[in-house]
Amino acid sequence: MSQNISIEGDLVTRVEGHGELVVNATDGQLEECEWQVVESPRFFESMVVGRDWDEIHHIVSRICGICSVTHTMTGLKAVEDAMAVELSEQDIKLRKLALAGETLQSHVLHLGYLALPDLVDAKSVVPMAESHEEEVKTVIRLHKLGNELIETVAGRSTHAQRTIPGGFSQLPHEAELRDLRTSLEDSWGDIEAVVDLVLSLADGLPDFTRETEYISLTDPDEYALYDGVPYSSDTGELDLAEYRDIVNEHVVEQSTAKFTKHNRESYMVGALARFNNNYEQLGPMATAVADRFGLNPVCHKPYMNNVAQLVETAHLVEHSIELIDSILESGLEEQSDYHKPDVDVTAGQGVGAIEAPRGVLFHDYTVDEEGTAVEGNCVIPTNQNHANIQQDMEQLVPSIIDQPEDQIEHTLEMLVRAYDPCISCSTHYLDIEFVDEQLE
Amino acid sequence: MMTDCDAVIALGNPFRADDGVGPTLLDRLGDRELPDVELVDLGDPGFRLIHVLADYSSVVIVDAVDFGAEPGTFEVFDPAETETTRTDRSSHKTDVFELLEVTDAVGSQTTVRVFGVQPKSVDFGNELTDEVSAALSPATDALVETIRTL
Repeated sequence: MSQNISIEGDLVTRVEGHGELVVNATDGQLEECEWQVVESPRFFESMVVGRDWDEIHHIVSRICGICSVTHTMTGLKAVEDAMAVELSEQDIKLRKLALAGETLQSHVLHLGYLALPDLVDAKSVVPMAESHEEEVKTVIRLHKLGNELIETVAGRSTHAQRTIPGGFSQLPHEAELRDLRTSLEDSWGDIEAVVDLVLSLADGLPDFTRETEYISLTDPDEYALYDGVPYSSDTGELDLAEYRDIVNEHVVEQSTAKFTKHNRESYMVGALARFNNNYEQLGPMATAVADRFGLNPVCHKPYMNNVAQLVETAHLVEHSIELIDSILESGLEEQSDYHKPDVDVTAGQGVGAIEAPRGVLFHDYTVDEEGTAVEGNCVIPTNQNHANIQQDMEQLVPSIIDQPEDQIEHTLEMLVRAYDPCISCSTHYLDIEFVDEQLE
Repeated sequence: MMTDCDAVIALGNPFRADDGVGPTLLDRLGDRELPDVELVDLGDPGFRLIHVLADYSSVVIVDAVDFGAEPGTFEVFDPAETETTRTDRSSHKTDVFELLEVTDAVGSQTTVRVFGVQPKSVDFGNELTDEVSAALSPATDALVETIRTL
């Protein structure tokens, strides 16, 4: 069947950005197929200029409400790199714990509230709460657990207050960490329930394969999240200081957001990239989840990013328990409230990289001898995935061009959601209007 | 003073003119003699509202709500007895009423009453409009009464 198709995306205004799908075909021949991002400039890199070294992380935290801890800590790492600040082992473990909490809540939010409605044929989590009451309750409990992890360590779940250059202004109490550990142990039943649910619906994930390059951090000691060096599935380890040569940001006509590329026309970051690059370092519970889905590295199916997030959810619970055990075993070293670590303020330039829930995040700041920022640069994971979404669409659309328009729309929306872009603050990621070309 | 209300939750963005009426009223409660209730400023909470509601048995949510009245008019209502109009109720487009629907659907035991104040403007701006400012004093009295009688 040859048909005319015209999908023109209406702009959907969401906090984290805007995106549109445009697909046009005449007599079954694809003429236009674009992932258009019309993100407004937000000027964070300019906002930090002229601000003090110990304010930067509070400002850049506001880049995102979902992954604010990651932006906070990546900003801190960049400033600490510029001033050669060393953290204690305890502080690093606590930062890892807060980051694990954030990635846990972000993955659960995406899977439970944004991706699952697609698989149960619900328009949003609201009707899904009625049709799948127990499952939504489970998702809410896990989401809350992630937030509690952040609150306990960082002071509050969004825009952390306790994380400061050189460490923490205030520490959690051992009793709070023990309570968290109990909650984490108690969450295995909930994780199992979500795994069972997603597994029962996994046939609804489109079976689409396109080989691409995967970039993430990698760390010889553990599944890289907080620390590590950049790693490409094509070219191996990369130099963090030369991160601009990794991302190669460039301007494209279809988007106000910059696209990126490394060894190919595009690369992917995020849960699937981490899974592919660092699979061997996943915890046993996470590996067991991957086995249940038959997910093995290297997986070139972008829709499986959802499943990789689920695998990581199990890993994050294991990882958090290990971190708490490690902190408690050595005894929490107390410090005064309103503690301010000694930082020798020096001029310099520093780069920080952390695996945000959606992929590797880079912050880069230059400060003068007073510690005042003179330059800033942030490369966020969602932008690194735009070119890969475009490449996926170009291969996927011709193979589904004969399907009904609403099916094409749904499949493409699911593709974009699979990447969990930070622009999808809502279950309704895209409003798409079909225009019959014959009527034009 | 006895009340079943164990929390007052303010919602709203103080940088969006009258959308900040919730946090403003919460601040004013600090000067009043109140039963044993927690005062919680959640700003623009997203799904976190669901988590927080689960921690309490009975709450009053204070927020700017567009119910078509004169600016500054305030009203107490049961969200279950309302219908959403799908207009943007928050500058971040989180629909509080949809979140409350989710909590209902998953069998929440929390009693929720909304103390809504009709805004005039939710454009950028860190001050309330004159109409809403003029309503702050009677609105605070009414809010205290709502807390006491819930």
